[in-house]
Formats: sequence, structure tokens, C-alpha cells
Amino acid sequence: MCRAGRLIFIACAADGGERLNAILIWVIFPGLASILIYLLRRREIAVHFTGMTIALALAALAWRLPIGKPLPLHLWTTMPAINISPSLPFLGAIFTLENSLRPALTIVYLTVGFWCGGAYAARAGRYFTPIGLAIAALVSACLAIRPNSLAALLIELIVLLCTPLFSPPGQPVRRGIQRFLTFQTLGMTVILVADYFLATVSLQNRPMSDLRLAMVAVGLGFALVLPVIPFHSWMPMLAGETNPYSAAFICYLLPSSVAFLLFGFLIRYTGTGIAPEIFAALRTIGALMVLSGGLWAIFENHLGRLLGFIAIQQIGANLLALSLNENASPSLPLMGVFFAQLLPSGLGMAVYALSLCTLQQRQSLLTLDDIAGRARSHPIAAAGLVVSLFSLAGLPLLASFPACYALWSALTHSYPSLGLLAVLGSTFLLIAGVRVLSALTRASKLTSCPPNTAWNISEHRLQGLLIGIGLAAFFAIGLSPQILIPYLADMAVLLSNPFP
Amino acid sequence: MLESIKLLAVILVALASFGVLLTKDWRVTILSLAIQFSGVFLLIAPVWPLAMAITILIAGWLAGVILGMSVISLPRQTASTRRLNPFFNLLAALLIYLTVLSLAPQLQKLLALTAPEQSLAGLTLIGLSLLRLALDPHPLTTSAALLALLAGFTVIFASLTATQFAAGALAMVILCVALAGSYLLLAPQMEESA
Repeated sequence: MCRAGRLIFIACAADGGERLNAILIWVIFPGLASILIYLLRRREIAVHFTGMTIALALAALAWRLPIGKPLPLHLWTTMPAINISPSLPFLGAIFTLENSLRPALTIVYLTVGFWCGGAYAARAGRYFTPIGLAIAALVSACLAIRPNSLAALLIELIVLLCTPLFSPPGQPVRRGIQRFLTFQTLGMTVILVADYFLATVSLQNRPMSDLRLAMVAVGLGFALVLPVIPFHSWMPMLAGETNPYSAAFICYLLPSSVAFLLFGFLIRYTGTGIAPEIFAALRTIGALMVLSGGLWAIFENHLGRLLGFIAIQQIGANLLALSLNENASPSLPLMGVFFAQLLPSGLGMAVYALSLCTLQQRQSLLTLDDIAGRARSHPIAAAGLVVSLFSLAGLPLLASFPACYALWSALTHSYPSLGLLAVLGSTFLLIAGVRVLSALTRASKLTSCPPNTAWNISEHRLQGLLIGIGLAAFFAIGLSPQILIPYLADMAVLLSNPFP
Repeated sequence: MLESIKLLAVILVALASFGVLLTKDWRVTILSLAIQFSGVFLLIAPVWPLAMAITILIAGWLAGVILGMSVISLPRQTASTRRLNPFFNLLAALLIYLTVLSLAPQLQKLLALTAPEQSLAGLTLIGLSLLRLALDPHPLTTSAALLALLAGFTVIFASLTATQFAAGALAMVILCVALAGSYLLLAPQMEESA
């Protein structure tokens, strides 16, 4: 067990042994830590390092500490067993982090720690880590809150917290951030009202048309928040206008959290009799998003906006994975595909964004013409861009391939036409990757890399190291998926089991 | 008596939402925000405990103060860049009023709202705020319109739940929207090392 965990245990034991609460550890503590880290913001390296350490320590605690189960430490003979209580009532709502949510907590804090680790190299700004940690606390609160629908309010707080990330001081306010705030706020209101409507309709045995209307309203709310086509316009706008690393972080973490919330809704309303229709709609929308995300990616010339289309494609893949089962249940093995996608997708987006930030530091414009020939001056960043695109497209031997293969197999087995659309979407993303590769390696008289420029490594040492680790991780996960993917896939089963 | 207060609240909300479409003065925007939240208070006070209703009222007024202080801090020429066509706005607002009038009874029936004024005021606020969001991309307008949207939502949501957490979180969201709007107004003038 890690050192931080022992310290908390000792503090808890000294305090009587029964006062430690899961909400205190994974919601309140990181929330307070984010405020303290914000106060340190003048020392940027310290901010990022402290934030990363705290997030990783909390991930380790979530991995190792059982919740609601006595844990004997035996530091001395009379020491009572430690028991972390899972619930904390607050203003009429109850926050409950059950033991079965530990894998989800581990992933949330691991993700935030991982992204904070690259924040300094990506020049994501001094607000990134405090906001990242606060977002992790709020996502944990979203997982914990009962009734679940109130999580929409917490998601809205996450959205509002992101404002300084997307509109840094000293820079003009762009339209993407305003559209982002608008769609998210609208989505939150629709989800809350629709959830109440759905609950009323389910309880009162109203006509099927009302149930359908309620489901459409819930779907509309999630479509606004996730975002689903045609409410996606803010995503490429935002990715093209702001720091790619910050944009990628939010475009990955927010939809993943919302998809998890959607997963909870699906489980809750499976018994309403309308579930097959919802899953059919999810499947169609998911396949269309994968296809259209890939198609837009082919024609996109701006590498920042391309990130937005990649995110749209990944959201589509998430929806497809959620829709694989006719009846939602966390214990169904096909739900594992959804969880197996999370890590490779996050890794791909992080390495892509970090590589993009590395290129951006030399030249602020990120169109294909502007980066022409940059593989000669920034070979590691160029490799990071291309390999991450190939991985996200599901190219064999790279990180996303095992999850993509599982998704495509399951889809083509039951719904061949949708499977074909999904494969086509990934092929389009692959073509976009080839386009980027072609731009990076071609010589151009217009850029700082004219023909016959010698190859040299211009990346900062830390940037090169992090991208290099990312590249190695792509191949490591792709070549030995049996090490990591089963654990991620089993999360679907663990979530239904109180003591994994 | 209660009915006439509710009716007064609906009229207040409708006039305040409409007035802001006809002028580009930031003072009118802030004032209309304050009137809108007063109307919201009058509508939610009968269904929520008074303390919860007052929380929303104070949060709304505070949001107005935050935005107002931010606009005052701005250099004069950047305070507002809106260009208005009052005739177009008038027509668009009339269309929205007509839509609201036709939708309000259905919403009341679907959500089992106790009073027709709630659906009427809620939909008016939501409809006109969406119109403003579509017409003007200035950060002040965006944040004021988002606050109006939240005010409309609060009117409807209040009759669906009376959880203290919901009221507290809504007040928090209202304040955070105002803070985000204030940040967006001031960020271009801030130093990059802030």
C-alpha cells in the first residue's frame, strides 16, 4: 500500500477509526487540494508535479483500499480495523461511493494524473492542473450522487470550471467557448427535466407515446452534452482555437464521464419496455458519428480542428460500445468493450495533443501547409502525431486495435451494415493520418523547412521523452493486449460486484 | 391574491426579457436580469420553502452584480459591441411568444405542473434567452442569456423537485455562470502571467 494511504490510515486510527469517509478521500480532499494548488500557481512546475502526485496517489488508494469493508492494519496490537464508510448525506442528496465504483475512481484519477504529467511539456498553462484536479473531484461526485440525475448539475459545474482553460488571460474570447457553454447549459437543463418526466411516466403507467417522448427528451439532453451530431460544432471550434492539450483533455474526459452517466441511465430504465429502441438509436447515432467524424477528418486542414473530429469519432465508438447489448447491464461481457476503449483512446488523444503543442511552440499556425516538412525538424513530434492518429483509427499492432477489433467483431456479427460503417469511419481516419504524414514529410519552400533540410531533433528534452514514452506505450499495449485490456474489460463486471 | 402575484411575475419576466432585446445598454441587461430573478422568486416561493427560493433570488442578483462590476472594469469602447435591428428582434420575440403560448399548456400537462404561470414564465425565459444567444456572441449577452435560461429552467424545475441540494447546486451554477461570464469579459484585458 502506498505511503499516502498509510498516512491517512494512521490519521484515521488516531481519530477513533470510524470517521474516514470515501467522499472525504475522493471528493472533498482533491477539491481542497485543487484550491491549494491554485494558490501555488506562480510556480508552474511545482503546481503540475503536486497535482500529478496527488491524482496518482488517489488512483493508487482507489485501486487498493476497500470501501465499506473492515481493513485490519495491525500497526500495534490494539489498533482497531479501519473502515471507510461509503456514504455522506448532504442537503437532502446522498453521496455514495460504493466499493464497486473503485475501478471507475482509479481510472478517473489515473487519467487526471496522466494528463497533469504532460501539462508542463504541453505548455497547457498554470490553471490546467488545479482545474484538472477539481474536475476529478467533481467527476467522482457525479459517480457518487443519488439521485443520479443531479449529476447533470455537477457536470455543468465541470463545464464552467473549464472556462479559464479555453480562454486564457490576455487572449481574445473565441466563439467556441461560448458555444460550448451554451450547449452544455442547455443540455443540463434538458437532462434534469427529462429525467423527472421519464421517472413520472415510468411510475404512472402513462401511454407509450409519453414514454417515447420522455426518452427522446433524455436523448436530446445527452446529445447536447456529449455532444452528438448535430450539436457537435463547438468541439472542432474549441479544439482549433485553444491549446490542443487542454482541448483534448476536456474532449476526452467530459464525454467519457457523460457516457458513464448515460450508462447509468440505461441501466435504470432498462425495464421500461422501450430499451430495444434506445439501443437501436444509440447504435445508429454511434455509427454515423464514427463515419462522419472520419469523413470530416479527411477534409480537415487544421490539425487542431482535426482533434475535434477525432473526439467526435471516439464518442461515436463509445456509443456503439454502449449499444452492443439489447438490455443494459454492467455484468454483460460486451459492456467490457466500452471500458476497454477508454485507456487507448485517452493515450491516443494525449500523445496527439502533446505532439501538436510541441509543433505549435515553433509555429503557431497548425494547418497542413504550415507543418509541411516539419518531420525533419521535429521527428519525434511528427511520429507522435502520425502514430497516435493510426492508433486511434485502430491500425493493427497499435493500442486501440484490440478494443476496435472487439467492437467491429461484435457489430459485424449482429449488425453487419453498422459494422461496415464503423470500419469505414476508422479507415477515413487512417487516410487522414496518411495525409498528415504526407504533409509532415514533404518539403516546402513556404515553411521553415525548405528542401534538403537536414534531419535534427528540435523538441525540448521533456517533450521528446513524454512523446517517446507514449509511442512505446502504443506498441506495448498493441503488441501485448493481454496485460491491460482484460483488466479494463472486466471493469464492466466489477461494477456490478460490491467487492471486486 | 396569490394568482395575481403569479400573473404579475409572468408579466415582469416577459417584459424584462423583451426589453433587453430592444437595447444594447449593459445597464438594461443587468436590470432585466434582476427583474427576471425577482419574477422567478415570486413564482417559486409558493412551491419551494422560502429559504430555498431566497437562495435563488440572491444568487441571481449577485450574478447581476458580478457581471455589472466586470463591465464597469472594462475600457469604455469594449463594453458592448452589439448591433441591433429592433424590428427584427420584435418580430422574432413575437414569434417566440406565440410558440410559448401554444406550448405552455402541453408542458403543464406533461410535467403535471401545478400552475400555468410556471410553464408560461419558464418557457418565455428559455425561448427569449435562446433568441439572444443566437443573435449576439458578446460575452455579456451570452452570460446574461445563459442566466435567463437558468432562471426559466428554475421556474419549471422548482415544481418538479424540492431537494435542498438541487436548489443549492442551482444557485452555485448561477453564480458560476456569472463568474465565467465575468472572466470572459475581463480575460482579454488580463495579463498573460495572471
